[in-house]
Parts: sequence; structure tokens; C-alpha cells
Amino acid sequence: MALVFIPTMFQNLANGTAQVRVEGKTLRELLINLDGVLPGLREHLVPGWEFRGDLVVAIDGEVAIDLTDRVGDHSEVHFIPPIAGG
Amino acid sequence: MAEATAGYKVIGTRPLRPDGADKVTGRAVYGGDVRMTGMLHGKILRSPHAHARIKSIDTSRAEALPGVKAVMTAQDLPEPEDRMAAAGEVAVNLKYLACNVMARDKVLYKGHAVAAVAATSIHIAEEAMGLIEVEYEVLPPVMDVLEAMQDDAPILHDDLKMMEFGQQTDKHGNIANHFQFKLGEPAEGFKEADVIIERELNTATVHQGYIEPHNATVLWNEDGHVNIWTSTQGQFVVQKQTSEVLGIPVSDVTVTPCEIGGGFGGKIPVYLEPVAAILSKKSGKPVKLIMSRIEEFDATGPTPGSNMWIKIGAKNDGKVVAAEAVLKFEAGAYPGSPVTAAAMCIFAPYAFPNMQVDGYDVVLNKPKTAAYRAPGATNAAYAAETLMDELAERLGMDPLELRQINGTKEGERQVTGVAFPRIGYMETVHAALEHEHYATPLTGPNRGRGVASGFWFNVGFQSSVVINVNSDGTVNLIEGSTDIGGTRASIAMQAAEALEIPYEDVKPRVVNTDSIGYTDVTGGSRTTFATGYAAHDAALDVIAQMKGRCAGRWNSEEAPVTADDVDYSGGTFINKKNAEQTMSFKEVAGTLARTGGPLTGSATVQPRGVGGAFATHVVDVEVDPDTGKVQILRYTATQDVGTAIHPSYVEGQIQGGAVQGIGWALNEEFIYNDDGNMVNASFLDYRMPTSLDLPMIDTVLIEVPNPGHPYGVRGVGEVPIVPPPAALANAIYRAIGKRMTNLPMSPSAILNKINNGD
Amino acid sequence: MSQKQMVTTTINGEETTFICEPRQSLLEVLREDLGLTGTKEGCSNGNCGACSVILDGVLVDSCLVLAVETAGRTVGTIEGVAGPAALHPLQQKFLEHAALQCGICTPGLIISAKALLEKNPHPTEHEARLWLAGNLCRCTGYDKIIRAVLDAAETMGASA
Repeated sequence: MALVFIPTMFQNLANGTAQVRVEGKTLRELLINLDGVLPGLREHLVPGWEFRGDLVVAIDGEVAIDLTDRVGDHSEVHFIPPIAGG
Repeated sequence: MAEATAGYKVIGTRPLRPDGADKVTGRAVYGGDVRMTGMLHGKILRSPHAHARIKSIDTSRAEALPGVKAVMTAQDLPEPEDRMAAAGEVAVNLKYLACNVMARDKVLYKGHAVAAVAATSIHIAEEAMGLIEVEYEVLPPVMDVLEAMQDDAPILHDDLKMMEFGQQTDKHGNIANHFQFKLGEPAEGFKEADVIIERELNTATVHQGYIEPHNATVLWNEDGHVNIWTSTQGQFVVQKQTSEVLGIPVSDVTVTPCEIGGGFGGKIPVYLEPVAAILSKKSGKPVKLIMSRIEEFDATGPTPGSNMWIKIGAKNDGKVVAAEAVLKFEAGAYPGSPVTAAAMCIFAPYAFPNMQVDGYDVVLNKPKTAAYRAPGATNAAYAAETLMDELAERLGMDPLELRQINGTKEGERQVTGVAFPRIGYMETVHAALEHEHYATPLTGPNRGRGVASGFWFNVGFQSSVVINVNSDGTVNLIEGSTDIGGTRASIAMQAAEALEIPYEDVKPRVVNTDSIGYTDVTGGSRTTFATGYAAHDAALDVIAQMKGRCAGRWNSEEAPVTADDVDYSGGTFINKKNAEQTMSFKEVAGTLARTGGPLTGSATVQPRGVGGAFATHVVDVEVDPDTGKVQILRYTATQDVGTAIHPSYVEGQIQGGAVQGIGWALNEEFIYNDDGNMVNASFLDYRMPTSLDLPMIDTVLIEVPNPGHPYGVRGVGEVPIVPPPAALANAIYRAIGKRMTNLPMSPSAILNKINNGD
Repeated sequence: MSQKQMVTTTINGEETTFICEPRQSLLEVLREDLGLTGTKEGCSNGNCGACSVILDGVLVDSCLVLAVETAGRTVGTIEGVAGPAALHPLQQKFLEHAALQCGICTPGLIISAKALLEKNPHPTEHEARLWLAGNLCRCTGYDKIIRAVLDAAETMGASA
């Protein structure tokens, strides 16, 4: 099962949970299952199933392009701000 | 010419850039050089006040001036929706973008655009501006980030509510965002520390300082199509931003990128294109707008000034146990400073077990900030690298040794929790330690040596490349990455390597938005990485198709040949089943019409495996105790560059970025008076480095190939600007015995510190 | 509006006549009226050197010269530097040393360097840096520019 890291800012919405293992072969599946484990959190992280402008999802350090992106059995999932350069 | 890197034929050599002859003869067409029949010249009227409500605008006298063909205000643009729109590398709020292009109800900085004029000559346009009457209700401005955060500060936006810890609140003020990253438990970590150091540091607003001003020439055709010629880092983002502000479909806009005279992130946002478009629509003629240098300072996005508090605790053996920082960044008139990137970069070179970083994005009456080479990271490094230096001194340890003890590696976690992939930080520290510069003692009064490290993420994003094979065996490489620093060469070299043909046989062309698939900006240290990746893949597509052509020629009923039976090596296709059957690349190219027709290879990429960049710099200075002037005696920059495709241009990125950092450190700042007007808005008083201010900049290119790229490329352009201010601060400390905690460390600031400070 | 004046001058060895207003700078006339856009505008107040030209053998910022002041004099711009079929050694060395990245300062720098080498064919590094300090470059950090100029001096000296 993938390991989902809850950003510290949102841990108060997750009963203080910092990390949680969640099933899912795609990002969408994983987020659906996350809703089951920590109800309500997903709506803050990916509201309306759209990526937030100020938050992206990283699977194994790579920014996810779409909810269909695959998640591995030992993947790490993080929620981090988007990066832009100059 | 240089030898190729081991294992390659083209990569690592130093060929001449394809656009070189045009650029050294003055023939290359930059945006300001564009000429069209019937072209009008435009000027923008800008607010003289840093903060005011617009009561009325009367353009009638300007419209009546002979030679004036069009006048516009924000009323000529559609009311912008309050929603996110793609604007460059990240989304921006459309209302903020549109209002920054042309003010609606309020002006939020001196220089904010209020109206615009197009006339038959630039001089008539300038005269017309004086005839536009604007009535303002002047409001008090707020020009300092800490003041802007106070409850009683003048408030810029009626509807800006703070986002706090990722959730929207009802707090109305100038703080757009307050966020936090945490790894481990710093509070617990500090309890284990033998030494704790804490400091507050400040940096001033600085500008990218590209020598070519912003420009745009726009023709709004009678058929409704908008044609734009502009110097830009990204023709596709200009297309998108302009279509959004004008409220027209993207397909109605064509953007042709001209050559560009510097960008560094500052030529990603649009300022002029929508204005020129409206003036063109109203006048029926092409309209050109070029900013003056004063307008560049008054009205284009600089990088934020900042206030930073930082605390680091370590054990006597040098292991840092906890680190904390609070970063308060100036966003300018609209939200969106790079404070989040700063928060992610500040401790990135180190595997600290406990870290916490708070960031504040704060609006105030300065121009909206824009990206400037590794945006946010230089500010952050100034704080962190100063403290690491102080820590080393307190522990009686060499500062590079302290970095070796704490340095990050593959697998270590950043403050966001994400683990690093294969990276080369430790290699840069090692290279600095082993360098002859570091081994050479620095002697003499008022002299000091400083070191600092830095990090930048780099990005991947989207690129498209098409390769057309010519009958003589050369190829045209069609790409959409504007060439600010030699990328035509670095991309062509990668195609030549993959095609196994000479570099001179690859002809790169940078084309407009109609002519190539979507390509993201030339910026973010992505171009050689991502567009090179696309060129490599397009080349493989060409080879695959050529194998098919060979198979078609050699195939017979008695001896069938398919593409899988064809090998390609060193410019020659060979039938694996019958080694007598060979064709050279040139021969296949020369017979395309007989084997199926024209041959075009293409690829689009959105690559993963980007790979971040680390750098460690060493600088020797001498400080004049009577004038406070800092002379740089010697400068060495080490950097993990992945694979250096064209080493001269990699060296150039490092040298150029380092010198921008030196200017940021020693002299550059926006100086404002009490009315919120910048009083040093010229290159005379906004003091950037000249050739006389610098020695040669030695570079050490460490090649830790990036496993995420076919040739191991890692972005190199941005990280060089990150270490210099801290490296110089640390060198100055050793020269004068006092820590400079404010940028710039200008002569008067240093004199003041020597005479009065602690 | 002031009366336009007719001005006859010599630009890159060719006699040239143009009409301009007295308030127009040489930079503006070169770029807007004569199609010589190789000379660049960076600041228009004499602080960046992108508009460098040679006026009667003297290096000047063309944004600080009125076009009418060139009557009867000679002007050298970047367009006149290369030979008929070959680049000037300075131009060639700039390319070999990768002494340009965006290239906007390059015409001004080549004009300045040409003026330097005509006055001082064997400058030291310091002399070159001092002479070129009036030409701002934001991309390169000047390292490769200085190397290119010193290398060109050597090449030109060797073939002199």
C-alpha cells in the first residue's frame, strides 16, 4: 500500500495523523480510499477532484499530471506547492 | 574545438551557436527591431501615486491631438473574472493579471498602468500622455513588509482574505497566505542542542536587470486574428495570458517570438501585449509598445524584498539537531511571491532531522513581483548560509566541513517530506574543499574568505520538437524554445548525438505558436533538459522511420527484411540478416521520394526525473575600511551540472548567475521615498556589476548524470544566483569582524557597520 | 512641432542623408529612420552602452547624441564591422569564446572593444575591463567577454 504524507498544515484535519497507508492503483483510487480512512481530508487537498493552484500531488517525488497517474505498492504520496522558476 | 565527453560524439564539444553570426553583426531581430507598414507607436500613462483610487479618466484632449490614432483604458478590456488562469509555469488569478496590465478602480504602485495611446510617432504619443487627465484620491502607501502586516496598515485590496495553513479564513488585510512546513519535532530537537544561534535578516527589492526592455508589436487583423511579435521567454504563455485578458479564444492569437535580450524570469508575465492589441483594434494598424528603463523599474516585476528570522541548533560535533525559520516576503501589489519556494529551498542542502519553516506572502505598494532566477532561494540562502557560517565558527570548525557533516544525499528528506533522488550536493562541497582556491591561504589586512551553498529544483514541463529530413542529409529541427542563452546549440547537439550525424547538419529553428506543439517557457532551468529530451525522442523517431525505409528497399520475397532487422550505428543502417546491405543516413535522406515520401520525426514530452541542482561557491574579498567598498579578489563556483552538453554555455550560466548574485549582494536595491516612489530608477543608481567590478569567475562543472534524462542533463541556469550573497556576507565577516544581516552590503552599509554596528 | 532638418553624414563609409527633428537622438534615427537596428536601446540615458557607436573615431552612446550633431561627420555602427565575406576577429572570437548569451549587449560591446583595440592594441585584462565598464552585460558576468577581447587582440596583433 502506498504511504501518504499528510502536510503538517492539514494534520489537524486528520486527527493529527502524519502518515497513513492507503490502497490504490491510481491517484483517483488512492484519494477515494483516503476519504474512507480520513473522511473530509481529500476535499481540502484536492477540492472538487481538481488540483489546487497552490498544491500539487507528488508520487515518488514526481508531480502528478492527472488523477489517472499510477501509484505503486511502495509509492510515497506528498502534497506540496507547485514550483516555478525564472 | 573541445573533445566530446567520454561515450559521446557531440556532447561535451563547444561548437559555434547557429544564430551566432546574426547576433554579432546586429542582424538578429529582437522585439524592438520589428517594423511593419503603417506601424504606430504606443506609450502607457502610469500612476504617479503609489496608492490611490481612480476617480475619473478624461482622454478627450489626447484623442484630439493630431497624430493620435487610438486611446484606451481598462474600460476597453473585459471585466476580468476572479478565477485562476494559466500564466506561465503556475496558475495566476486572472483578475490580478488583468488589473496589473491596466488598473481598474485603484492604482497600487507608482507606475501602475492607467491608460495608453497609439500615435504616428513616439514623440506625439508622449505628448498625448500629458493631455490625459486622471483624477486620483491619493491614499497612504505601505512600503515595508513588516508594516504591511500590521493591523493598522493601509489595505490594498477590499477582498483579500488570508489563506492560513491551507484553508481560507475571513481575515481581511495584506497577508495573502501563511503556511508552514514541518519535518520531525524542532521543539524537541532544540533541547538536544549544545549551541543555538538565532538571527533576523533583511533583503531589499532587486530587479532582473535584463538590458533589453519589454516590447510588443501587435496587429489585430480585420479578420479578428491577433498577431503578436514580442521578446518573450514563452510565446505560448504570452498567447494564453493575452487571450485570457482580452477574453478571446486562444486560437485567435498567434505569437511570434523575436530574439530576446535577457529575461531571467521577468519576461514571462505579460504587460504590453493586451494593451497593444486594444490599441491596434481601435486604430486598425499595428502598434508597437516598448518600455523605457524607468518603466522597467517602476512597473515590471522585481523579486521580493524580505524579512527572515532563522534559528539553528547543533551539537558540539557539528550535527545540526533542529532548524527553524520564519520568512516574510513582499509580493508587491498582488499576491504571489515565491515565499513557498524559498521555504522549500532554505534547508535543502542539509539532512536536518527536525525543521520548521513558516512563510508569509504579503502585499504592499510596490510592483507585482515576478520570477527572478531561482525565485526565493537566494533570499533563503542568505539567511541559512550566514547561520551555518556562524555555527561553524562557534564550533571551531571549517565551514565546508560543517556542510559535509550535515550535507544531504539521495534518500534524505526535504522539509516537505519528499525524499531526494540522485543528487550531487556533497560532490560540490568536496570539489570546493579540494580546489586550489581553497588551499591557497588568503593573507593581508581587511581580507576574508567566505563559502556558501545553494539549491534549486529546476522544472520539467512540456516541450515539442519536429525534425524534417532534408534531401542532402541535413535536418531542420523545429522547436518552440526561445533562445536566450545558447539553447539552439544545446538542443541541436542532443539531436545530432541521437541521429549520429554532425552537429552542423542539424538546423534548429525557433517558431511561433502556429508552427509547433505547445512548449513551455525558456526558464526554470528546463530548456536544455526538456526540449533536448524532445529533440532526442524526435531523433529516435526519425531513425525508426528510416529503418522502415531501408527495410522497404531491401525487402524481397526470398529474403524478407523488416524494420526490426535493421541496425543503425555511426551514421550507417545495416541489415542484420545480410551485412552487405547498408545505407548511410545521407543516402536514405537522398532517396526519400522513392521510399515513401518526405520524412518527419516528432516528439512531445512532459518529462519526469527532473533532478535538482546544487552549488557551492568560494569567494575572497578585500574591504576598504575608509570607503566600505568590497573588492572581489577571487571567485570559484562549483556546481553539479548533470551532463554538460555545451560546456561553454554551462560555464556562462554559472558565471552570469554568480555575477547577478554579486550585484544583489553588494549594490542593488530599490530605494523608495516616503511617497512610495523609486528614486533610483536608472542604471546609474541601480548599480549592477560592470566588467571593472569583477575578476574572472572560475567554474567547476561536476557531472553527476541525472538518471531521469537520456543524456543525464540537469538544469543549470538558476542555482548559480543562490549562494553569492551569503558567500560574500561570510567573506566580509572575516574581513571586518562583523556580520552583515541586511542586503545589499553596499559601501555605506558596510561603513556604517564598521563604525556603529555589532 | 519643430522644423525637420536635412542632415548629411557618413555612416559606415557611405554618405547618407536623412530628415529628422532636432529632438531626435542619433540612436532613434539609426533605428527608426535608417533601418540600422543593430545598435540597441537599453536605457536611453547613457548608462548601459548598448547604443555604442563611433563618432569621428570617438566611442559615444548614441542615445546621448542628437542626430543633427552628426552633420558632416562620420559614424561607425555594428553594421559596418564585419568584412564583405568574413566576420571581424572580434566577432569571431566572441562566438568562439561563447561571449554572448542573449546577445543584446553584443553590438555595443563589439563597437567598444573595436574602439579599444584601435587605441590600445595590446590591453591588459585590467585595461580591457576599465574600457568596457561602460557596457553593461547581465548574462555573462563578463569573464568570456574579456577573454574574447584579449584573444582578438592577440590574433589581430599577430596578423598586423
